[in-house]
Amino acid sequence: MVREYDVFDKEYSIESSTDIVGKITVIGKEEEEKNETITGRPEYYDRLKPYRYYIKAKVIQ
Amino acid sequence: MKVRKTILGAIGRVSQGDIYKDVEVIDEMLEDGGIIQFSKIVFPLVIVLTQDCDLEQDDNIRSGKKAVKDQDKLIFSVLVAPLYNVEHVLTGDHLQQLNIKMQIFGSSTQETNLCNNEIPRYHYLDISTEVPVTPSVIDFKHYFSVHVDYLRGKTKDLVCRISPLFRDDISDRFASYLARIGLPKQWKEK
Repeated sequence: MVREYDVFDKEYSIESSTDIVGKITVIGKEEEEKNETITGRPEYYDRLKPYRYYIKAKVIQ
Repeated sequence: MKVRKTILGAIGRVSQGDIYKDVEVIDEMLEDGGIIQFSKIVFPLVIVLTQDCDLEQDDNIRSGKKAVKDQDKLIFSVLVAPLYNVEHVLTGDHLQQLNIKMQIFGSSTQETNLCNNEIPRYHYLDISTEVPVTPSVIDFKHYFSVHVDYLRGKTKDLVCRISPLFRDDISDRFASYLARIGLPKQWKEK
């Protein structure tokens, strides 16, 4: 399944209860099972199964 | 069973029986030497199971619609359960992409029992053809929670809302499933 994620290259803030302690930047991710091409609904939802994806991020102080 | 589609956005808040698409849940999060790695599971469709009165009272506080003297009725999370394509459930491969092999409903009797809602764990839904959702099965064992604000921000991903009578049936069966008591084997054998 091929899908684009808008999380790529996006910056996230890591916040403690009161202060921002750092920022993370997404530096890479992996997807599983890139075998299908999504053509649109409803076929997309008829075929789609739950899937997992990974994000790696580095803390930038 | 046919379920009526209701008008989207008729109630401007998260409601019991709402079906949302592309709901993400954090599966695992690790930190090592400043590198954070986390995995998320994306569920194509989920249904909201939290009691509607709880959702309404929470919304009254969050939206400021009603004057309240405290935040006593605020909730932290919403219970949801995934919907799986019934064809995938029958063949036991609906969690294939998570490397989980599920039970196969091989016989016609098993299939009939599933679709007649005679198996406590599952709830079969054949939603109106007006809604682009294939006949699906809710798996009560796979319920999880998401933050209220997360769902409130997903209004564009609201697919449909199950009508009250049908959603009450789902809620009632879910409650019964959660309240089940597993007796030790030796008690069953006597």
